Amino acid sequence: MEISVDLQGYLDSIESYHKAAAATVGRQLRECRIAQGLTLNDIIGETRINRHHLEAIEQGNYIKLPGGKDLLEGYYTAIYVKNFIRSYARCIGFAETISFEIREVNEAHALDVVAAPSTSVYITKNHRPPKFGEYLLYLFLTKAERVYLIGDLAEEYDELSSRFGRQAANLWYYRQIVTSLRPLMRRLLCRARTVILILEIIQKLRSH
Amino acid sequence: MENQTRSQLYLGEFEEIVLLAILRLKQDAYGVRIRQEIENETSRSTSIGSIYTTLERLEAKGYVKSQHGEVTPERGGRAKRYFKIQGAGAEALNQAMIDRTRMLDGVDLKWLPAW
Repeated sequence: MEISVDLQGYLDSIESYHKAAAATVGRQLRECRIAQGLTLNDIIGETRINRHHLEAIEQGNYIKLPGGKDLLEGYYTAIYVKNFIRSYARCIGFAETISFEIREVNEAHALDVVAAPSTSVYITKNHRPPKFGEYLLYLFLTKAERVYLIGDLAEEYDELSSRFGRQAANLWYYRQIVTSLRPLMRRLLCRARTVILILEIIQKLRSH
Repeated sequence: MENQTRSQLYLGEFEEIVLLAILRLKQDAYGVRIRQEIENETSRSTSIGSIYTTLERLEAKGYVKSQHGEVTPERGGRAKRYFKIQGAGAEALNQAMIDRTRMLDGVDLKWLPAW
């Protein structure tokens, strides 16, 4: 009795599974970048990864990355590929939550054929408010206040983001920033006015 | 003498609301919760900036006291700041309520024209 094993079909299915996973991760990263209003140039500035490589990550085309061909040859620990994806993800706020699942094809099944690329990335959600809003607040807050106020905003942003999506959370966040700036600016003006008043009094006392 | 004490105990309308929110929240009174409590109960949209500037004023007057809280991951590793009402704050709030009740005495809000 002869048993036929569809080895090519098996490898193709593994490959298409990983390609799909890679593309999903790339899309997630791209969507996250766009939601934060970041361009590829911003990411290039921060990570020093060139445009072609960033585009390759977003398209899930890891083979185009330095050392990417290792994936085809069965080197599962393609360091450059992992580091490039990790730097990009970190840059847009997927800080420590990125994990790589390296799955080696079972040798008994793969026989003597080199395994298909098998690096896939799984990202868990980590909602981080837009940096620009944070920067605006930095201009008007005291050092001690920054921790608490920005922390409060981040907490509510995270809650809203998981309930209503990133766009709605961004809208809420910017509205909070704009309405918060008014009382903060008023406080700054009051302080400035007091300083001016004191200086005027000192000047008058000197002239007498 | 009485007038002086009263002016010292003066509370702005928003200060009053913030103090009441802290009282309602008890042990859980920090920025996010205070803002949400005010928004839910008064249906007025409130910014976190106005909450903090008011709390800073109240703390300077000695009406509230704050303390460092725990750090959580959703806050990006930043600590919470819990607020607790002080004796002077409770007294000021009490005085504001007495003044309001006195002023409302004999006034029928039902018949006021809405313009």
